Amino acid sequence: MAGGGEAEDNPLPINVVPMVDIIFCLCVFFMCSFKFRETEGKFDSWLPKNKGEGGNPDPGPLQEMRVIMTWDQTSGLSRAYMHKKVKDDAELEQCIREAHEDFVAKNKPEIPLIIDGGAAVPWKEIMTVVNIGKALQIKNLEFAMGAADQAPAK
Amino acid sequence: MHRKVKKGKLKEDISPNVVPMIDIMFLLLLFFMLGADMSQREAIEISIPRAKNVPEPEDIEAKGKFTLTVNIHHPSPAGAPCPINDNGGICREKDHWQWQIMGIDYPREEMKKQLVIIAQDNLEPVEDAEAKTKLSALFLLIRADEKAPYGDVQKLTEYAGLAKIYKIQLAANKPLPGEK
Repeated sequence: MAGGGEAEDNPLPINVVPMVDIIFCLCVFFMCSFKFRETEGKFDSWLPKNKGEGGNPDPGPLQEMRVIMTWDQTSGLSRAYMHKKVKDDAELEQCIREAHEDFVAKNKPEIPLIIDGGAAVPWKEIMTVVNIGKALQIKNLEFAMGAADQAPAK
Repeated sequence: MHRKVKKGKLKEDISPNVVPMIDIMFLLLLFFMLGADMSQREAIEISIPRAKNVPEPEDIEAKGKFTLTVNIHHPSPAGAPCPINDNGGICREKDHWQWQIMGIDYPREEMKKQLVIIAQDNLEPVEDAEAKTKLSALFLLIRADEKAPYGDVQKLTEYAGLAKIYKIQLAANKPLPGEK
């Protein structure tokens, strides 16, 4: 470190004041620009590789968990789970959990959770549903494309 | 004999020892310089959504993979401020939301072309049996602002699919301690 030695030992005393000034300035600069980095993770979401199939003539009984979400400036966000309107995250999670457990009991854990959001829905709300799906360990999460911005059925 | 005592000025040398201070200043400087995030300039500062169950970055990082980061953000240019966004509201003006790669904002159609060009440079070595073509080995990381319209993310995903990029990643932050 910089310490040690008597002042008389040094025949050429160096004026450290400008250096201290500069270090102060640098310190202030880095202190002001310093920002603690947040932990940023990623959800993997692979797109299907095939181009899909034409209309299925007999789709059979509806086997899906669909969350319908719409948003507009006046009424804000409205969410529905399979046409049943939900108030908050807890209720939505409860609906999805019950349906998923039911499918697991029927030995169909692969039944997807489909997120059917309107184009204006804030991204944060979509990620909330993704997060619920991940919390419930639902393996198949699907994003419906091209949904119209219509209010969900009451 | 009267001894005359010389009344001289009593000079006391009280110069402080600045050496320990300089040491500490150097350490502080080193800390802030090393802590400054000069890397990841492609990841601009936007408020991305928080998700409790997002995997930690260490768990999913694979060596040698090439990730293209696209930011969907709402810049506030000095010339054309957006009062809704500036006041913390949710702006739905289509032109206000920008798609950015490496600090450059691209219009939608230009982004579509850019994705095709970048994807073509990073093709997988073998043809995919399912798709019957060579797909892109690129990972596309979508970093969308929490207020960004879902339609933009959908559109970007659609463009990625057209460019044969199928490995999509969605960025989210871990909640802060004490946050739900």
